[in-house]
Amino acid sequence: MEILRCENLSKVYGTGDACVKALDDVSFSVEAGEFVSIVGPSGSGKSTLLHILGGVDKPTEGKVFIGGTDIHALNENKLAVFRRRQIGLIYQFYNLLPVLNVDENIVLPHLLDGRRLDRERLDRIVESLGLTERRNNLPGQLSGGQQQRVSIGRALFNHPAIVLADEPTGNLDRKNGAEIVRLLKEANRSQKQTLLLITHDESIALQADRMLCLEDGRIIRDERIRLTGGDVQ
Amino acid sequence: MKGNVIFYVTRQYMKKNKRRTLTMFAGIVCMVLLMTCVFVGRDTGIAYLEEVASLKDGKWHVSMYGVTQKEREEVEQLSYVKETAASAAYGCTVFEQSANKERPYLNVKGYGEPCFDWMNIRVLEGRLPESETELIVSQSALEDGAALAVGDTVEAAFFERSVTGTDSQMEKTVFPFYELTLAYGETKAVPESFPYFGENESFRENKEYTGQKGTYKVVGIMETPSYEDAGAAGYTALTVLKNVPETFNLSMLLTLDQLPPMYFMELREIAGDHEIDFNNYMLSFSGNSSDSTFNAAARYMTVFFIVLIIACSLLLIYNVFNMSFQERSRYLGMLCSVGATGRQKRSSIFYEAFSLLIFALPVGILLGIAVIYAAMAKLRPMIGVFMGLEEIVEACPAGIKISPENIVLTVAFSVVTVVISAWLPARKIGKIGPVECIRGNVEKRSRQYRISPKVIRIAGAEGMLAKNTMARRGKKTKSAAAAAGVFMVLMVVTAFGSSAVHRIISVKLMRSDFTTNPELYDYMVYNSYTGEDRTQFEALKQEITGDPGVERVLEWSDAMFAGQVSKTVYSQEYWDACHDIYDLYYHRKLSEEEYRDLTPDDRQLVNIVSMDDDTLLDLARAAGADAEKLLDEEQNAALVVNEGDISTDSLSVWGMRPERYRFYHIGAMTDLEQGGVIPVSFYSGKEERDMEMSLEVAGLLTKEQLKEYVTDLGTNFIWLIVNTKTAGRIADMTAGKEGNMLVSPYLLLRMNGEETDLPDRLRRLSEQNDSGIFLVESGYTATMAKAILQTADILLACFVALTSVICLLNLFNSIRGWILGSRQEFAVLRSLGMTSGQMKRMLLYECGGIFFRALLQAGILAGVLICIVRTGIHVILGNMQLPISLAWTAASVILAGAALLSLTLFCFETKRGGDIFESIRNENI
Repeated sequence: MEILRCENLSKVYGTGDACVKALDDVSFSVEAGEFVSIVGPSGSGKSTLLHILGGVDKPTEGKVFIGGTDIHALNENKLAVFRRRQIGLIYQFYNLLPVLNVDENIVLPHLLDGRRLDRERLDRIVESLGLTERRNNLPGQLSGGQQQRVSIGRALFNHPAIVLADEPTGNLDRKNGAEIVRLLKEANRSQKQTLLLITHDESIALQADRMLCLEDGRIIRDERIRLTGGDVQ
Repeated sequence: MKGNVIFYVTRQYMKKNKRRTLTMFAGIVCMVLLMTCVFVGRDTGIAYLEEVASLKDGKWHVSMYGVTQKEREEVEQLSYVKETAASAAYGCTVFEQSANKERPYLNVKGYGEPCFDWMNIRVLEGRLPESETELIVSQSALEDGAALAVGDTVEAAFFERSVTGTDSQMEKTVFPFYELTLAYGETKAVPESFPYFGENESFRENKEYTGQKGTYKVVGIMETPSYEDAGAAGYTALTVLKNVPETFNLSMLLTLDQLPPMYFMELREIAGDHEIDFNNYMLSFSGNSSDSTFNAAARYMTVFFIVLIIACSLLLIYNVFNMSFQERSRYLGMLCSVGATGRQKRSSIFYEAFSLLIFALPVGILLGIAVIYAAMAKLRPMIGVFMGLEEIVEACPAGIKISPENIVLTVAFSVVTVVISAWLPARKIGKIGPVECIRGNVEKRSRQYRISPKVIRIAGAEGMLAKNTMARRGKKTKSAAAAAGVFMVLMVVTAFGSSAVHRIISVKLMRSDFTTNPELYDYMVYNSYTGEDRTQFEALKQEITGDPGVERVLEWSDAMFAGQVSKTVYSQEYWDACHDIYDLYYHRKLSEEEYRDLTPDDRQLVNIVSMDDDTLLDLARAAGADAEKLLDEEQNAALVVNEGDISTDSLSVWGMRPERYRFYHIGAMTDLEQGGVIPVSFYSGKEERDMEMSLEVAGLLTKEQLKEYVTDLGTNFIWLIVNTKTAGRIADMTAGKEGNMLVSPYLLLRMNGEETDLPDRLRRLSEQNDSGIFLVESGYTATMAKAILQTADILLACFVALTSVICLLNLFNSIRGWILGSRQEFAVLRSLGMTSGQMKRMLLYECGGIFFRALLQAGILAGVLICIVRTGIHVILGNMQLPISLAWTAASVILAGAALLSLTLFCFETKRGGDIFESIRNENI
């Protein structure tokens, strides 16, 4: 079942001579439960694409459908509600709220949706993320890997239709990076969580079901990955 | 990049953060502007008031009448007498050219040369006289159609005027406005202002020629002098006084900055029995009137303004630096990591402050002058109304008095304020290391923070975010809370300071024996010695009552110091205060025995006032007193005003000066109780002995209960309020052998707004020597003290408005900093699906938290400041009551809350748009 489709996406920054085309007529779709990695050199438009897919940036042209909804046709408020329910965003620099502890950061989108605190689910997620001991700490008291785990928990807590991860391991060492990828794959496998992940790391990209390669704002390669022999370490 | 790299980087950051730089610049400009307003404004105001004052009564400071050359020499020997000039009245002469039958004379005066200037004689045509054969004549003569022109001659034969009663049928002819009662056959001299009545049946006018004659050439026409009475029989004409007669009038100018404190006593002593006039308008505005407290009031206000301006400016500049601390510490940290020293880092802060101050100084001073100019234009008509000098003020243009001293003071205070406010953040930033600088405020504490389901349940995610922001990162909103707190403190402390200044001025300047409520009565006509014969008073009362401009007339009476009671009637609190005042006069602590020896009399004075029955009934109700007893004409009962105050001004020890001024508010003047009896003794002039009267205490009154009718009751003694009959019995008892009485009647006048010249006539009567009639105006055209109070109120309001601008800038800047600092978090929250409404709600909760924090801080700070001011005033001046206005405090708190909320929403609205992704990525300023 198709969960995400984008049609002829373009994004242009600036005008005239200073005009930069970050995305140029990008179209693709993603099936539910699929794990897609997006690779490409710096400035190829990966992050721009991810943010347009996540509804935090607007395309100059084109449409994005998530679960059949044209997200950029929604007004600001409806888009915000859509985001908190259907999209989980993971950033390279975590972007946790510094005044909230681990628990509060994880449940934030859930609470923003006006729902009651689901203690059991919170405990389960915190435990699965290995953060039980740190759940009452503020982000400033955590290591980078721990902070990224919190941001994964926050992205997954609401059962979003799609999780978008923008270089989630880019700021971490190899060991912590692998742990983050393991957690994301785990969510993808066990909960059939659709996952789009930007990375510069080929070994991580190859762990996905499918790999999109961007260059100069265009998809130059879209291929299925067939790996044998389990996860790449 | 020229010169110092630190300064270069600082300049670059100042350019990058234009808004913050502009806010700080605006704050410094406001501070300089306010300082200019205080220093230059004060001098401009006083100079203007002096100018107005000189136009009212002239530029002279003191005048003595009927003095001799010997006394003039004595005066001229005084070091502080700058210049003297003689003048003399030659008397009346028939004015042939007059076209007004009621003004057939010329009143000719000889002026020493300076007098023309000192009396503001303005030439309308021709010139001033230069010899004793030349005259300048009042324009009023020409306005009445006199056939006179410059170049004409006037033949003068001077005479003194008198009137003789000619109606044998009429017992007495009374001229109430000239304090003149004429019996049949009696001849009395009349003053210059006395009208010309022509032929009539009641009296005859006589001319007694002095023998002085002359032919005068009219060389000029002058504007009608302010002292010329339009109802007088003669027009004013002036000539030069060359040969000073045996007795003459002496006017003088004093060197105001060299006046000894008791100079007026010395001048009075020289004047002896001669009349002496102090031009109090002129003297007061330079702080040298016989009541020299105007200067003290001006000083109080200057100090008060300066301290508050400095405090507000300090906080604004400190807050701007403190708010940008993190960002500043980052770039300074970077500089530090490449070798910048602590001193260099500190110099960055000072560089920023002073580079802004250099530009702010001329801008602030120029704006300040513009504000003073505008304020003077606005205040001018008000000054006129307050002082009752509308016409004079209208004619007197307002100029600005800028002295180098004041500009230097403004610059000096501004520099000091900026140095102090920049010093703390500079010191802090100088100490911080490079790593801490670059990393910023990273949370390093291992403290655990639990999720609070209760907060989430009650206020949702917004509440949780707000609560955690306040509780866990208080520093983020610290500036905003401090700014809101400062705003509240400013408003509350200014309100308190304003009421304190008001109170000080009231206590020091408005001391009055008896002041009626101006909202009920416009004028009080006081008759100082009526005697048993009320004919003249009744004639005046009748004339006043019949005037079309009068709505109602009430008659009260009083007898100051009329009775005596046993010392024990007064409370211990009263005697302790008196003892303290004696200590101050004797410059040491007097023992009880010494004090008793100094005050051996076992009796103490009381004052009596009688009021009309309606007023008495109201007062009795207010005090819960026995109204029936009080109004019973057969009984002698009194309401006792049991609250009072004494001070070193009101209680003096002859020939001694107190160590310092001190005021004592006496909560209970007596230990009397309702139903008790006070035996009061009155001295009977007829019997030549004390006579006793027992007054039953119908009730005890506080000043608050009395203030609807009487707003101020001075003197150091108890006031007993009685009914008219009791007052009559006291009057009979205290009557002297020649009928002179201690009980003097008052007329309280309420005007109905219709046009009438009654107040003018009463004022002229009041100004006449020995008339015995005093007109006290209780409305806006009231005393000078009232004018000062009103002016002070306006200045305080302007001050609050201007300092509020500083505070609001401070608040706006802090909130803007807080919102800008939260931009990345807001973007993250938006990316997580927080709607705009939810964000506003979160901000609302945060505003609530900031507000309560500000309230707490302001409560503590304002409380401490008020305590300091109150204690200071109590130590310096005495235990005067300094009320805190709860309504104003509440209004200040609400205003600060509203400003906080509206500025937060405004800043949020202007910053909330934009690209989420960019906002998340960008490092904020």
